[in-house]
This record gives sequence, structure tokens and C-alpha cells, in this order.
Amino acid sequence: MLLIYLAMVDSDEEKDLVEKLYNTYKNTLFNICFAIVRNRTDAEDAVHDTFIRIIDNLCKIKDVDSPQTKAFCIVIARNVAVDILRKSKKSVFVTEEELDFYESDIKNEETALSNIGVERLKQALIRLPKEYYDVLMLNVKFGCSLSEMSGILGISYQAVRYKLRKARSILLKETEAKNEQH
Amino acid sequence: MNNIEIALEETMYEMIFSDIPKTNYKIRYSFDRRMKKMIRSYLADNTLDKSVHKSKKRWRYIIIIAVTLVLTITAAAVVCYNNITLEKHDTFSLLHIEDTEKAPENIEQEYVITAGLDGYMRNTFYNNDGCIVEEYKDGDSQIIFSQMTFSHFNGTRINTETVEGAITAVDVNGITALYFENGKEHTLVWNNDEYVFSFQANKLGKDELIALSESVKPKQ
Repeated sequence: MLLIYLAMVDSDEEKDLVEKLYNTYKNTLFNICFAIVRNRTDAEDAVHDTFIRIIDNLCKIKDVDSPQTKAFCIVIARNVAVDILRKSKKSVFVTEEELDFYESDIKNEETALSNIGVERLKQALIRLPKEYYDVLMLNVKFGCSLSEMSGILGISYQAVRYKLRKARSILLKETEAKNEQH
Repeated sequence: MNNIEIALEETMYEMIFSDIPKTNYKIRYSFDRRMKKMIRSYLADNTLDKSVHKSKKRWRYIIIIAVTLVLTITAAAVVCYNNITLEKHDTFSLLHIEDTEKAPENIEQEYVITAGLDGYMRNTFYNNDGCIVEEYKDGDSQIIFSQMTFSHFNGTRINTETVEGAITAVDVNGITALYFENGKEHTLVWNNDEYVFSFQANKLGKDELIALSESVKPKQ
């Protein structure tokens, strides 16, 4: 009859993971969001949305305390907060021309990037705008697909596609410029 | 790892962690509770209620719920016992408890049964964030004692389709408690403004459960 007892006995690894994630990062993420939106209510909304997106993508998280997980949470939080600040979730407008730009020769770019030295890549990455850095991080480090990134970042599929291509393109240009200087 | 992965990992500090401000604001207690409730509901049935916790929209939802309650007052009668509310529907009831500032989010003080368990052996013990459940057995006789936080208790559903007797209010150490029977299962629920307690038993009646509940005291 009374479900109190049965409802309580419901513990598994996922439960521990979500609760630990929340308790570990709630204040850090709140401070990041607050620094962007500058008011408590919007920052709370941002933290709330961030955790919903994290929970939707729990499979990307292996170890709660790892720097990778921390980075994953921060990337989501700052994008959510910026979204709230813009007051328009799908504000990134991408033209058909820009989409074609993505389709051109993505394979060649990936190969070219993998041949560049780590130090040169690091120098280029540090100069990359954070909105491009974030998509690259999600795609390369966390193996997120375009549609997963669209959900995580709260922007359209096309916008994610464009940003990813743009990130790769900037990186290649930056590293090529360095090559010429040397 | 290829070069781009290594480079991304080694630039995380400059590009991501450097974004963490030096401010040390804490999230509000009320927001923290709402978030934990959301996470708990997700863990219970794997569905996320993505809307009701938005602070800016909270009032809008409260108004909608209030209007809906008024409109459906004939379908769901609401009865209050102390600060526990019983929302009666056709085949089930929902138990809610009015939140108090004193009610902790986690169990900070454990309560134990101090008398009336002669012959019983503790069969199972379950302790999790927000709830402790103990099961005692003496042959066929079973007693389940639960201690819960308010947030853990809220929204508990009981099936009243087959409840034989009416749900009644009884007195436990001067506190109004709920007592109800369903076949051989007898249940007593009460709270002390900090935690919600319940007894479920298959062989003990109302008076015995009240006697047991009066023996529940903070663990020394």
C-alpha cells in the first residue's frame, strides 16, 4: 500500500554520480554564471539549465573529480549563461553560404590539424574565441556529435556545424601563419 | 590521444578554468532544495521536470496550480492533519507536508525506537541521503520504521482504493498523526517539524503502533 519503503530503496551508480556532480560543482557553476549574467535569479536559472544539460549527457562523464568533467560542466554553464544574457537561444544566424563553407573539405582539415605540433596548436588555441574553443573541446575531447552539441550549447545544429568548421579553419590559419614566420 | 586532444587538455586552464571567478557566492538554500528535488525526481523515474524550477516562472506555475486546484476541488478533496496534507483522489491519495525552516535537508539527527520491540530482530537497514528505513521481524510479524526529510516525504502516494477504514487522525505525544489500514497493513505517519516518521506493520494495530511511535527518540 504505502510506497514509502520501496521508493527509498532506489540507489545506483547513476544516482551517486548525479548527486556528486551537483554537490561538487553547484557553487563553482553559480559563480561562473553570476559573473556573466550579473543577477542571482538569472544565474540560478543558468545553473538549473546547466544541470539539465549535464544530466542529459551523463554518458560523457566518467569521473566527477577529473579536470575533464570540470571543464565539461564549465563549458556548458558559460554557454547557458551567455544564452540567457542574449535572451535569444537561437541567435546565431548562419547563411547557406556559410554552411557550404563547412562541407567543403573537412577531412583534409582534420588530417592537417593532426599533423601540427602540440606547442603550435596550444598557441593557436589560446587565441581562439571561446565560443569556437568550446565546440572544439566538446567535439574532440568528449566525442560529442553535432546534434549533441546543439542540445548542450542551446544553439541550432547549423550554428554548431558552422562554429566547428570555423574553429578548425582559424586554427589552421594561425598555425600556418606561424609556419611562415619560422 | 592525438596532438589536438593533448593541446586542448593543456590549454584547459587558460581557456576554461581561468573563467572561474574569485567570488565565492553560495547558492540560496531554497534553490538548492529545488535542485535536489529535481535531481531526486529524475533519479526516481528518469524523467526531468525541466520547467517548474525556473525561479522566474515559479509564480506563474503557482498561480496555474492554484487555479487548477480550485477548478478540480470536487475531484480532489484536501484534508489537513497538523501540517500534513492529504490530497484525496478517487483511487489514491497524495501526502504533502508544509515545509518549515527547522526541517533539515539531510538527516542530521537519527531517531530510534526505544521500546516495544521485544522478540523482534532487525532484518534490514537502509540509510540514504534524506531517509532511513529499518525493518524488524518476529516470525510473520513485520514492522517497518522510516525516518525521512520533508523533501523526501513530499508527494508520497498511497493507494486508497482498497482502504477499508477511513484515514483517521490520532494523537502521538501531543502531535497529530495519520493512521490508516489497508487489509493487514497498518500505517502511522507523523512529524516533529524536523523529520517525518512512519510505521508500517502487518500484525500490530493502532494502539500498538501509537505506543511504538511514542517510544521513538533521538539516538544518543
